[in-house]
Amino acid sequence: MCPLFTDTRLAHVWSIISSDLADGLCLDVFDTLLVRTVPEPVGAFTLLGERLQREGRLPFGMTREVFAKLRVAAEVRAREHSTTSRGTVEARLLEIYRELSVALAHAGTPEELAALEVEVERSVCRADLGVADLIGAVNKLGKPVYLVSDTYFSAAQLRRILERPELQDRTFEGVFTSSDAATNKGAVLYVKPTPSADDPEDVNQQDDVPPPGDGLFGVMLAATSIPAARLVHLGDHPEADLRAARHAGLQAVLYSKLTPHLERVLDREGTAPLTLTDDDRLDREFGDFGLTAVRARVLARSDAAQVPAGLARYWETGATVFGPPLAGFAEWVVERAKAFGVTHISCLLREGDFLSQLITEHAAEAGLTVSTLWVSRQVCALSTVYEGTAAELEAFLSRRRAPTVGQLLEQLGVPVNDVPALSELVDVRLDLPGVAGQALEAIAAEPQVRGTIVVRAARLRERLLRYLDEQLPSSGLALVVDLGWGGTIQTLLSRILQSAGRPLHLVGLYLATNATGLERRLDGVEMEGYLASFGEPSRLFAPLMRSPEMLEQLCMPDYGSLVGFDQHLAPELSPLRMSRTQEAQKAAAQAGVKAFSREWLRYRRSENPIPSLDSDAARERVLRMVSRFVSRPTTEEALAFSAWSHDDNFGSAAVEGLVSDEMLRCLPYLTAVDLEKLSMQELYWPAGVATVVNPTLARIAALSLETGADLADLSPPAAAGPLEFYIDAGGDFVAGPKETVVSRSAADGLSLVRTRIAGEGVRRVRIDPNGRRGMMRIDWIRMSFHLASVVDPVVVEVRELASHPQVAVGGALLVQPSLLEINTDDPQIVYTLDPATQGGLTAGTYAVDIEVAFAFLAIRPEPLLVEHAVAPTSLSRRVVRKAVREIGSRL
Amino acid sequence: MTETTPEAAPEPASPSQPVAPAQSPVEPPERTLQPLLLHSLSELREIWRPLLEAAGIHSVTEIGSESGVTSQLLTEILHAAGGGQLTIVDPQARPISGPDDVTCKAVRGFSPDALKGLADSDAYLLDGDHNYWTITQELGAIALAAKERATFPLLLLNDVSWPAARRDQYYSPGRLPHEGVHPYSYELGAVPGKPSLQPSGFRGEGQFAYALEEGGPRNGVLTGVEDFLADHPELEYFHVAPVFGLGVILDRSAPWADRIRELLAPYAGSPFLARLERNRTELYVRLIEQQDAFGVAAQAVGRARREESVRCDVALSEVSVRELALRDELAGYERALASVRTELAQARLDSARPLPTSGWPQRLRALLRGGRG
Repeated sequence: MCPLFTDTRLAHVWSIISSDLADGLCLDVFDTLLVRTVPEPVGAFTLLGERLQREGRLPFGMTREVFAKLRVAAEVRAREHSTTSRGTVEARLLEIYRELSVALAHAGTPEELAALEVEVERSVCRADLGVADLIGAVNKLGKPVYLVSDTYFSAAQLRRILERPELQDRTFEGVFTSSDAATNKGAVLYVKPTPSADDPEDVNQQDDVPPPGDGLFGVMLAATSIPAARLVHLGDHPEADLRAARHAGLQAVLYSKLTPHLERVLDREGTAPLTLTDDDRLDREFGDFGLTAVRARVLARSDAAQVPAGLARYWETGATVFGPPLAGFAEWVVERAKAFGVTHISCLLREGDFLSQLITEHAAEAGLTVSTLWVSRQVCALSTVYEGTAAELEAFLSRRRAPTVGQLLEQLGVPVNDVPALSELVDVRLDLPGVAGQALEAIAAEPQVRGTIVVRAARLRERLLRYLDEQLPSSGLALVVDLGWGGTIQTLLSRILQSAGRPLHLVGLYLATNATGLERRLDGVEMEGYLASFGEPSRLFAPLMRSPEMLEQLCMPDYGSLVGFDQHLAPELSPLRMSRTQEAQKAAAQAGVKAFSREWLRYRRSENPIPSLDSDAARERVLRMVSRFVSRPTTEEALAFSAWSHDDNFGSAAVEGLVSDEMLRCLPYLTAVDLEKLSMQELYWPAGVATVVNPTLARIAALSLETGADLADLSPPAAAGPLEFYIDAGGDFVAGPKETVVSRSAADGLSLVRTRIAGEGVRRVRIDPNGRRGMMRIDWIRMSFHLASVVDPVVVEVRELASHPQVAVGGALLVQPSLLEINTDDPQIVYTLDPATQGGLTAGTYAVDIEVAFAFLAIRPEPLLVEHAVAPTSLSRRVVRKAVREIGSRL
Repeated sequence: MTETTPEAAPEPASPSQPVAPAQSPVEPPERTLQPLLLHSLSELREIWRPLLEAAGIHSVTEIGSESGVTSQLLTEILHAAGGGQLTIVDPQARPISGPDDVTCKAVRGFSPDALKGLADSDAYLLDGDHNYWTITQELGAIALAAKERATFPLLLLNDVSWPAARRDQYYSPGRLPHEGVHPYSYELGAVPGKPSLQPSGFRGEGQFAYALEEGGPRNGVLTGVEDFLADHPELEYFHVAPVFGLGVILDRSAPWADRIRELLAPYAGSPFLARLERNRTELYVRLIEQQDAFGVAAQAVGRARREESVRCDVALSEVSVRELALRDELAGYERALASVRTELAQARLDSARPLPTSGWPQRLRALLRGGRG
């Protein structure tokens, strides 16, 4: 049977060999034939140090990391000695341990320690399954396979490391190592130094130029009768394995370990490069669980290469960022199901659709079945309405973005006209002060309306129960799986089942649960989280909870939320409000996740499986990956995903863009403190947007998350000092409300100050910059007047102080249209509402949000040496304009 | 529940009912499959506990504490004897809580080095690293510590039967001097009756290694004991075969020597117990061989399944890529449609805008004037 390869490079090598363009295969060993369960080779030294420490063989006070550093330093010395004594930079493992044994008096002889390193190296290695398949196929053709490795291991030591079940029955014609041959693969590239007659100081004549030669490839070629051109070499190093191999006459294919972008991702995660400190967070036994190797391998799959260009970033992110946590979640769900002794897993729609596909791949092996369960928060919330009380209806309000009164009535199946008291509030959002209480009381106060709701709820509940009876076991324990957070649907479902007398206990298995679940847990709702349980570990989980939309959108199916069942129990769905573009991007990300999952399973099911992602250490590692994505995305990731919109998963029409134009404008002015204060409604993914618009801010915010540093310490106060805000509600400013806000300075000296101030009867708004001497450029003043009974606030924006007829400046000189020279102790900017056109604001405003964006430069108290560009005037702008018009007409 | 007294006559069994073996109706049968293979010194407690009690010990040193079960038993014995001192020597030694009259001292370290400087004890339990070098060093250290004593301490040793009797076992070969280590393997296993290690067989799965060859000088725990005894004719050795062997070394002149001999008489040197132990280990090795054979077969099945899963993976990937291409195309059409609609809407707006009724003539005139000028 013709072998198949999921890796494009292996498929290419196979096509060369199978079409008789080559008579033999030549392979690099590390990161080609073998992958490791540590991100970089030196990680094996840390694990060796761990083992020596466990056995009490390291000197007192020496940690595993110190051992690893000593091991690296000893290799450098061994190479130096080897260069002087044997004329080669190649060192042998025993030589390295002879250097090292000086520092490890009681650890054992150099021979024993070298043997132990071979064993540890063997334990952290796994065969690359694709390469193992390639070797098997080449063996079957009767063509030879040679191993050529630049390494301090000898051929015998390499053969020991290669003794593994994945490579059983694979035969190697020859094993060539640089330590045995005292030359390496790259030596073939060295130019033979030739003295130059013109230039006696020719650098080629320096002593440190390596000797010429055919290098390790030459050694290998001397041992075979196959001409170089009839051999194809595969290896991961662009110099040693590609350039040098080609220089030696071989055909060569590069088997790169990492893509440049994945390298940046690993760097941001702190996965690689390893620092040989405890920051590396390598598991004592399992290193990085093989995650780096599989993440790298998955990007070379043939499907990765064929994804349409516009979707490639989504596919790659799905594979390398979301793949590990979701594959680990699927693995964990199966393990938990086995521990609970159940045979079936129900995944809650909508996200459950995608999750069930992942879990099914893992569950089949364990003899478990997986299905999806049609439920939604809206259906469950309505099904738990028994009397139509305000308290029951509150379940409809527990969502990220509050619905409008009209949307609430629609979801309850109540015509607006049936509740006259709410007719004027149809478009008002329920999170405005007092509106929710007023709406729920109004609904509950109408007996006919309540009756309608209760009857509708009872009918829906009856259908839901019939559906659940069909889908779930009649008694005992049922496992439900969902993406998670607070376990709302499980809680509501449990309530419905309990009220109906069904003796069924639901256990929820979630990707993560937040602190909302704590109270529910005390109420007896049993739930577990994979990445996080009840919000812990909080530091790693907090960024994910701040921006959960990425994961939610990634797991969405191509259909809307459940709003009910018809009489045949067929689901009734709300329309999907996602653009085809986002659908395609989401599908690409899902395809990437699935590709990783399949690749992971392949290694998990091999003869020598990589470690499970079920352990606490593995869970933390994969949480770190997704947490990094949310809190510190690369520019490419941020650009791709910050365009996604989000619906609130409650059957409503609310679709939110991830970032508004206003927010984009604000971002350069924000400090880390300001960024944290932004609500989810304002910005779903602050780190993502900041990465694109304000990378410095993004880095500062990420630094705070990583180190636990206080955001205030990373957001210095601006030189402008605090700003004061006043409202004149008819009794002058002295009698009105006042707020003082500390201004902070963003990286380039820009500041944004925001506050909310009580605004009943507002006639004038006053902003007092601090009286510090300086130049203040006001970029905009934005006032949002919140009116009772109106959905959106009335926004007034001032861009130019000089030209705005309702703005007056006092205590400062306007030296440009928006540039103030603050030269008194009491500078003021006053905005006066026009009674003729803005009387409604004075009458209806209950609060005013004020936002001032500015830049400030402190100056010395002496007078300015330059003429003022705009002379200060006491005339109002209106008078000036009139004068200009008149002068213009006369001219 | 009714307790059966020895005096009570047993009920005659019904002819139709099988007669159950006699056992206490109160205590459930002891579980012997946890672990599957009994290996701890504590499993032999019914044999060695009376020995320590007979010797009236007030101090005991335990070398290698494993699970801590034996340590707990030792505190009970010391307490029953009126109190005393328990010393535990182990790389992971932890002090255990015992009765008030028993002092427990934990010495973290590897024997024999960790034995240096310790006060001598009335008795020693040796269950550390099971190899010739370690056991002879331990016995030497004990002898040195006990040289002032009137009688040599009572010694109890584990692992004096197969497989460690004539074959060194190393937990940490790197710690031992070069001359104390035979060529060894962590992977190969010991099989009864075969001097060389085998691919299958009894092995440590990476936890410990065995010497490649069995027998010969300076190899194995029992060999070490015999070499030590050769230099100490005042000592007497007893060998109890089960659970990898219990060795007892006692001073012939000790006042409690006769009592010890009497207590060990049913066990020491019993061919029956030796047969049982051999049978037990052979059965276990057979089980390991079958497991290994099953593992090889399972590997072959696993490989075939993996090949199949690669085929499925390739097929799924192809479908996935086709789906993404279609979705991408569809998204492109949607964007194009949106663009056309925007243009259309703009065109409608433009067409609906009334033509200027004023201004143009003046502007035209101005233009014309400018043109003339």
